[in-house]
Amino acid sequence: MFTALEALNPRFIEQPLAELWQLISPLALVDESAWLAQLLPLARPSTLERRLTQANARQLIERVRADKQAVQLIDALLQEYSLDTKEGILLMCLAEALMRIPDTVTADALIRDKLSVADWQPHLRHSTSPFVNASTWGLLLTGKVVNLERRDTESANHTLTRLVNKVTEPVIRQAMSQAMKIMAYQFVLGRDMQEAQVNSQTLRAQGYRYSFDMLGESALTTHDAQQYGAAYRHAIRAAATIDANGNQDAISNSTASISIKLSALHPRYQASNQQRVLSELHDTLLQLAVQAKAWGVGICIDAEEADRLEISLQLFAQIYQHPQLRGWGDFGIVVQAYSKRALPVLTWLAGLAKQQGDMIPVRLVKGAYWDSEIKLAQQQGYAGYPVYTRKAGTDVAYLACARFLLTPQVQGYIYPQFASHNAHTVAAVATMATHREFEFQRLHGMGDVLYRHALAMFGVNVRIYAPVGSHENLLPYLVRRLLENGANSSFVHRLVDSQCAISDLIAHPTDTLARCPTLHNPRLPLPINIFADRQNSTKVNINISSARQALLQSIMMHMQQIWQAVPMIYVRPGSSPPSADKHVDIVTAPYDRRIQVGTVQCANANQVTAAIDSAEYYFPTWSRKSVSERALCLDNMANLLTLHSEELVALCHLEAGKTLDDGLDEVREAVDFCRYYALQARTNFADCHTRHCFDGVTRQVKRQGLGVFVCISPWNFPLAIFVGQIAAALVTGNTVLAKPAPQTNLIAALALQLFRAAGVPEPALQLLPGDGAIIGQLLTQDPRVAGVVFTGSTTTAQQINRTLSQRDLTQGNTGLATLIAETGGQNTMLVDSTALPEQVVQDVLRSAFTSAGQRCSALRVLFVQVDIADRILVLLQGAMLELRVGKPYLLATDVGPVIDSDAKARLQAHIDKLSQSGQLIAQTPLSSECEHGDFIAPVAFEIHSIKELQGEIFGPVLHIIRYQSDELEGIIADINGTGFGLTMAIHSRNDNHYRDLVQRVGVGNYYINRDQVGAVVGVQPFGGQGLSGTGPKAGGPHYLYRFSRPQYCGDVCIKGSVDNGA
Amino acid sequence: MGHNDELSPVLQRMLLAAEQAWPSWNDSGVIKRGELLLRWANNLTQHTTCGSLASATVRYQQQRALSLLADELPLPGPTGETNVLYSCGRGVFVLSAAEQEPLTEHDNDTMLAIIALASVALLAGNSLLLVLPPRLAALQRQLFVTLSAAGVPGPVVHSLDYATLPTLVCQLPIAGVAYVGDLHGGQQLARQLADRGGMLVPLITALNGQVLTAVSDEHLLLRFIHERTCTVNITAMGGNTSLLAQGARDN
Repeated sequence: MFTALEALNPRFIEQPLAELWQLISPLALVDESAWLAQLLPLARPSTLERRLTQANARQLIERVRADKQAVQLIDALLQEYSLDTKEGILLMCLAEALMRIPDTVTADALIRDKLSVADWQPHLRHSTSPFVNASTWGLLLTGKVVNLERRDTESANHTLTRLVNKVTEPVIRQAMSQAMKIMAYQFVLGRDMQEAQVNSQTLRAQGYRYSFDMLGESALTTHDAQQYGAAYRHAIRAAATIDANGNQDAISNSTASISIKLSALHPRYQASNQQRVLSELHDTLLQLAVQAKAWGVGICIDAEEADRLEISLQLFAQIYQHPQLRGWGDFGIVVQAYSKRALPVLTWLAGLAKQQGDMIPVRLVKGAYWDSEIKLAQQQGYAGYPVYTRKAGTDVAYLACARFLLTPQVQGYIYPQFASHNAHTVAAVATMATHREFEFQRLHGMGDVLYRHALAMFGVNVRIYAPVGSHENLLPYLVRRLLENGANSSFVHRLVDSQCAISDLIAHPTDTLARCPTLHNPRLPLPINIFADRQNSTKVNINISSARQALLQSIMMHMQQIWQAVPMIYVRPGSSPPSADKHVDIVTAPYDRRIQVGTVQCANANQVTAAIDSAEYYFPTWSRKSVSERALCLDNMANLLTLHSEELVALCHLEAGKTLDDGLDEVREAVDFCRYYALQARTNFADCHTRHCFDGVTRQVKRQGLGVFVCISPWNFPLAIFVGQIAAALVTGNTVLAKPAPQTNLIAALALQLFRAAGVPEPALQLLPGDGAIIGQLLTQDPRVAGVVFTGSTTTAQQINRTLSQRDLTQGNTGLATLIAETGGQNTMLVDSTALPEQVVQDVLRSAFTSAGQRCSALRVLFVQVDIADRILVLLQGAMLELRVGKPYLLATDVGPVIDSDAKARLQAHIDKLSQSGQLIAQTPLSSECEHGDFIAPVAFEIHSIKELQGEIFGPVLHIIRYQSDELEGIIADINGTGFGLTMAIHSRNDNHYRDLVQRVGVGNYYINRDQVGAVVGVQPFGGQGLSGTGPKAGGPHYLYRFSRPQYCGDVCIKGSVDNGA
Repeated sequence: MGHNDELSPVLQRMLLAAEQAWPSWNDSGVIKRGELLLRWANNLTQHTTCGSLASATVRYQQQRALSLLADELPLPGPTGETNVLYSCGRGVFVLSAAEQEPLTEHDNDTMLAIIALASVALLAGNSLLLVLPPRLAALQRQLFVTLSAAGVPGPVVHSLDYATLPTLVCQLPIAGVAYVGDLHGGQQLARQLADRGGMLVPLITALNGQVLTAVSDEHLLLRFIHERTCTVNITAMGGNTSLLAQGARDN
């Protein structure tokens, strides 16, 4: 394991490169406090250094504050509309969306939506800035037509609403758009490189260097990646400091550089696509680098999400070491100090440079994806965060990294570029440095005054990171900058806030962090602890090599096994064991039918009868057991599932064709079901409680199981739903007969063994594998069955309901049976023109094609507002071509097979039909890898109406419908008219719009501005209405009640006066 | 399959009115509905033969509705999104009872169960069709009149002839059936509902011998609702401002 202080050892970077590399990955999830404790000594200054740093920082801040230009237009704006206020956030929301909306109706609606809900009064005439003061923000710019004089009797909200209503909408819209553009261009140097070169001349002449950033986000398609590539090539040429004759640029003798976002250059720049990244992206990047070297322009590889760190370093090393680039010294990379891996990354880079003998420019930043890293880690249940959880932790890490970068042994190998707008950081680095072979970097539009004075004080080099691009591409960048600097707590904000004491601003981060009760932030619990009352399920981060290797090895080992499923029946005392059938069915892998996975012996009628006998016999015993005893079995089961996760994932690959990600999620969901239901049972079912009834009688009431429960589970969630149904039925005191889907008996059998190992007695839970029409019928027609919980098709649910209703109840003792059914859906996504097309397409891909579209929640019909439909369809088309369909156990596979040949034939028939009647948008290609399996390539068709679809199409087939904004009424009626009501996603930035849709479209689960699959137990309880199921929602707080009934326990008590409900 | 052709035009109109009325009744909210039903409870005190008990029944259910349904339930989850669970009515409910006098129940129990089920159906946000047998015709009239007098909007509650029951439960707009009576009658209804196709319609029973146990179940209301969850990605329009503020805080 890496030890931080060792990094300062002059010989540390002389280790073999492979050994330095091995130190990086394990630190991704290292204990934060322990690691920060190691970094603190590196960051902590000596007494002299501290004194000098403080003096420098104080002087720098005083100079900035004394400078009349310190508060510029944009700073004033951010101060008035801080992101700590609702108004600030609303304006940011407008900034994010308004300029991309092509149609006026939607743009006007968005303006109304945002402007009418906040309190603007405190902002009127509050700021001293002429830009901000005169009125509310954007409307100021229409001063010629808008009189903002407010009537004293009228609230500011009414004033604004009145204005919005009174002033013609085009005027307001134009004003708001103009305001957004003015703000945006504070951060952008030019719309193209020519303009950027012109605009940068003045500062270049003063000695500033530039790093140009081509605005734009991740490419989803090869076409977009090629366009970004062309833009970078153009930028390199335009930024060249050497002309065609090999002469140096007249203005500056220093090298300009281009910052490159790798995600813009390849649609699948992900760790899971290592092969493509290290070949296709490698080639593109090499070409750019060779060109840049030739033209005398530096390249800097931008840092992006933590999951891409390792793959980015691998690619960087390949390019850096390429023979054509050796000795260049201008191929650089960005390192994010908030990453726990930053220091070992720097030592590896230093080792890499030393080995090759030339220089690597390294830009040290604090990091701009902090909030999304935290969110992702929590969602995925990772063992820890890849980043620090306190700002002070990042500041300490930054200084620790700076200390390393400024050591003599690194000098000459790494050219440090310190990017910061924090005056203390600037002063600390300048004071720490014993040489001048480094530079500072600032963003264009920010920190101008700070660095003007820093330049004067420290005489250091300063480079400006300058975004270049059109307004369509700057919005995500703009939002990141606003987020970084818009909050009151940001340094940029406090620097120009005279109310903020300088002594606060120059506090050393090591002191600040050491003063905290803990080095990590306890307000951000680890992903496993985000629920106050139960453990979150965990998942290995497959993007981190040290974690991935062990997981994959273990899975591969289990994939060599041959599995068996047989009826698991308990024979009640005094009964003879029923004879078993000798016939066994061979199970083969859906992705390659030549692979034998195992065998299944189905239950026969005698075994079913024997199982029901036993379940009925054992019910009184099981139901009398304490809730805590039953819940403990579920807790044990959760732990066993976690322990056996690799084995379960292997079987999910083999029997269900699940991809690695799906398999891991499957196990997580099963674990969550167990823990959640155990908790619910302990909380709500454990004790008798006193109830004052309306008849004036006080009773002791406890909930009791219903009797024998049949759990009929589907193949699409062969583990999660199988376990979830059983866990719910068992913990509430029922005995269970489990009838898994015939396609996934092996997974069920393994899960059942784990239940038994978890302490569930044999007669409480029995397994009856077999055909639904035979075993299911035998079970549901038996009058001793008290309840059935079913997940599957609507048709089968109706059949079960009919069978239950026809039973001869004189033979049983259970009365009318309970039926809990979760069935299909005709799930939709509605996208209006405020949505971000790139985000929509990513969510569509995940919603429609994850698990080969074989999820109840999966997207079937995408409605896109016509104004942005072309752009979305082009993106979708390109992105679908980038999907990889194939063997589910391979990391790079996005889509696995469908479950069996019947499903394949049904889907193919539907596709054939649509090929005649619909418009094919795109179809993902199938490789030869798929020829022996049951594969259906993801496909998208444009159709005219949802009415064209007859029922649910359970597979990777997406239907797309364009709509005009005035056609929504009809669309709502059509969606409701399908009779299904399971999931719906809405992509809209207009709150009123999505709330209205949620009110009027009847489904069980709504998802706003995200995908619609992957409901999490206890977080998004799942289930629909109408043809989609009976309720209650699985994984919700009311689910267990349907498996039980109230029962009086103990004596009926005092009869008092009639309860008046008080 | 539905049997609209077997319903008289008057009944068809009634059913349509109930169907059209439930969205706004549902949207009116549990608190508002509870207020109206409390008013009804007060009226019941004066009108029915077991006035105070009937009134207490309604009050009890109103309290349960406030507790179970009034507020959206925020669900904890990862940062950057909000998740809430809430409920809405299912649609049009039929309330009926066995044709024969029960042998085992106290005289008032059937009536109390009917009042309980009517109040639960309405509190949950459903429209209600009262389809009681002739022996309970007076009660049906009384319920209809008093609910109307309490301010429950006219189209939300309808009083129908018992003879229409078999046809009525087969109509597609019927979203649920509540029944007080014997097992045999319950099973008959279950079979009719199962045979009609379409969505699975809940049958909520208060069967003889357990009538009061059934209607005093604290969670009875949950049978009369749809649950809904809404997940909002609050970082879609940029980033997670509140989390950033939290991370920036030193203590």
